[in-house]
Amino acid sequence: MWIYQKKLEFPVDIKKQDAKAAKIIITQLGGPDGELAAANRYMSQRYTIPFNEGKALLTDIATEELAHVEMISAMLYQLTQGLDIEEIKAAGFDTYFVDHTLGVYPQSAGGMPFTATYFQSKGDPITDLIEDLAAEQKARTTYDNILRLVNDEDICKPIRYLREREVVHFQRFGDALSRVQERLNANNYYAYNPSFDPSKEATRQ
Amino acid sequence: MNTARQALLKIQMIDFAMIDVGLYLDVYPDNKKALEYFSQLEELRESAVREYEARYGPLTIYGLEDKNYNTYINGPWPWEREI
Repeated sequence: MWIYQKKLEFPVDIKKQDAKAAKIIITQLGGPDGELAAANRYMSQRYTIPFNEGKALLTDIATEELAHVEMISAMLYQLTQGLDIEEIKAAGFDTYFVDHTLGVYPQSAGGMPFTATYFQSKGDPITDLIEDLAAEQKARTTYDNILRLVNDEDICKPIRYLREREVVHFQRFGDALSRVQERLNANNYYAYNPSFDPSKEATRQ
Repeated sequence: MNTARQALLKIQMIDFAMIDVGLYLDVYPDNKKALEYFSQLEELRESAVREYEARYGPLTIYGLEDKNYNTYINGPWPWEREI
């Protein structure tokens, strides 16, 4: 289970409201490669990963992703608090405003609400870990694109931090994938699914 | 029930009480009785966690008494019915 810590993983202190930036950054809350999808993905996959290092890694990365959900949400809050109706209209933020006022709601930049179809839990460690590797790269590209679209250093600092974490998670998932493959038959990694056919693993040696 | 499970159940009972009183305190932060109960539970929790972690391994990555990370990784995971 979890205990809440009343702090962010990395400081967020945005002084200037910016509805246009909020419209873009919201995609890392509820979009296809966002932090909510990441947290749910790893939280779901960890049960059937067939080795302890994998359970530890997925649990701890899932937990960190929840901290990233909080960071992005804090950014959205600070970017939108105090906006007046003219600023909201001028930035094209009115289509969000009509449904959510200035509430923080997980959706993509294009307005698609968060959905579990953004991630998979396949119950096969090779498949799941390769999805995780791809997910970290997709999030990294999204952060790179955000950095192309915004200039405010108060926004860029936490965004660069989150981008770095995608790279680190990618490295660690790569390590985990190697651990899985070491335990399988190098001539045919796909001979059986160690999460579903553990008896085959026992007869392998 | 084995002793590891009993020791964990004790923490689960204390934690549940703390979660429940914590919710109450979120809306009645000045209630003296609830505050007192909460700090009693806090003390109980501290010793229960200390005892558990010394015998059966860390509950969090911040509970590594023996500085051996393997005891965190390789201890039973909560969904495995081993504890």
